[in-house]
Amino acid sequence: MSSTHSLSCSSSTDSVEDELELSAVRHRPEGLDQLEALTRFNRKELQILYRGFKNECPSGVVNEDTFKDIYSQFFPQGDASKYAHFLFNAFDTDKDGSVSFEDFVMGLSILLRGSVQDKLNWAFNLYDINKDGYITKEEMLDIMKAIYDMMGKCTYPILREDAPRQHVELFFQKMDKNKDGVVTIDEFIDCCQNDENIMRSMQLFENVI
Amino acid sequence: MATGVAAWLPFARAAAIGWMPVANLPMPIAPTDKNKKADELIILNVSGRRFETWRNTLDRYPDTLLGSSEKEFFYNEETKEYFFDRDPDVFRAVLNFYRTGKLHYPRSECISAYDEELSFFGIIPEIIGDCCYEEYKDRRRENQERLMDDDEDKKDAKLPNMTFRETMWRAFENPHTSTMALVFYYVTGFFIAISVLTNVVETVPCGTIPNTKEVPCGERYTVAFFCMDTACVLIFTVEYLMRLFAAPSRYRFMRSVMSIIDVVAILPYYIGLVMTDNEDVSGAFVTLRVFRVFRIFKFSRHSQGLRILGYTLKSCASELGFLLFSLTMAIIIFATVMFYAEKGSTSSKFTSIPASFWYTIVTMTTLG
Repeated sequence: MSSTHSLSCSSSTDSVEDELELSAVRHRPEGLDQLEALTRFNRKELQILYRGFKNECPSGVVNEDTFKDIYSQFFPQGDASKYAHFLFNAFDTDKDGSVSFEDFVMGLSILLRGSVQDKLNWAFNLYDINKDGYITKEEMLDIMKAIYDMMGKCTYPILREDAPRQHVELFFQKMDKNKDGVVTIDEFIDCCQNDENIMRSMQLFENVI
Repeated sequence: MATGVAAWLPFARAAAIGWMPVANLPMPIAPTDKNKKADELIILNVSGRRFETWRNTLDRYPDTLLGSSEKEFFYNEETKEYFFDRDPDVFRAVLNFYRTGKLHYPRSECISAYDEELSFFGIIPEIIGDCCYEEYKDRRRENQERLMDDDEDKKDAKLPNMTFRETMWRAFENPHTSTMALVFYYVTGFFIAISVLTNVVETVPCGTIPNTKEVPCGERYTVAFFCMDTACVLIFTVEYLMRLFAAPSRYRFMRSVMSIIDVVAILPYYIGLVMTDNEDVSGAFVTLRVFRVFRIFKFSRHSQGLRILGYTLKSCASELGFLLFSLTMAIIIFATVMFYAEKGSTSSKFTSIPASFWYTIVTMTTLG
């Protein structure tokens, strides 16, 4: 990945100038050809995606605050910041604190054009906050609360306070086959593939772009 | 939704992966865009300068001319472009609004030309970004004031069928409108000057009556000065009554500063007439004569500069008030300190805190 944290075009040795330039981290993505090979988007789609990306983030990378900002504009009725935080960590595959265009587009490629297995894998990765291969009840509760926060108070019927916890119980009852208190990736994928509703919902991702 | 964020819609939809496995019911299918064509470039020809942009950029604001089907009226079939016979420089700002979502006001443009272009393209000026909004508002206000001034000048050549009252009021407000008004203006000015002069000369020592000390002229020529005073007050009273009669809103006129000055200028005389025989209050009567000096403020009707000074003082009244307040605070503090510092010594003049005020004031104003 050619991430050019370029300090300036000309080779300047002035330390004050260096400090100023560092604040404007610029990132230029891989060429279109490489991205085409890495993802399942064609050239035109990549062009459209990049234009939108660059418009909102001229420096070429998204940091967590911008991410939260953008996401909350799509969900104005609730507090989307926690969910956006988890999403950010899921997109930021190399854990450098910022999502570059490659990360962004590779994530989208899996979610929109990937196989069902890939999508479920990605979802598991999202739920597994500490990335240890197991989803515990606490992690699931956090995610659930984040989702409920995002939906806001404008749900019908009005949700009760302990709705997230109940929902987590339901989830674990369904997913945790050997009742050991955690959900592994195999249990997760297995269970989802056998669930009609979830499979039908996966159709949602066709024709998104 | 902000303009660029619309391009992130696929991302928002993809993020639904998060709650899909936990949802109890299947998610509804997202609406598909059946007529989605590939994005195309539009050419906007504005008085010969060609601007190109994506159609989607213009579609972001569908209630403006360029975003709606209204632009089809300007489509030129032969050249396959949209032609607008408007100013290309202002159009730059308009098109940048679509591109960036922020409307800027180019400082080099005339404010009314800019407003016209905005109204042509269906953009309301209220969405001008914070960076340029102040400048825009300032220029707009200046322009409107200038227009109002122009209107007022034009109003002088007004309708012939004004009532007598209106003519009189106009004569009072703008002395140059008719000769009578001009005469009246100069006469009143002259008498104000005379009145102020007599007040001053009254107190000048004016030679001696034999065997007594020097007397001021006022006491020597009492009758003459009294006649002068009466004449001036008569003129001022007549003028005040005429203004009161001619005023379009009597209540507002009576509350205005100039009329209060008029009243204060002539009241002492009438009070004096009533009270001359009573010994006890004649002292107070003498003090009242001080108010005759306010006649000098009547000159502000005659002098634009004096009025401007008055407005200036009024507009920085709060700052002056604060200055006074902080001085008072300092005076009180230092007076208290001086009083307690000198309390021990017996021959101290600082017998109480108010007594130390004088010392503090005189020292703080460097009079010494």
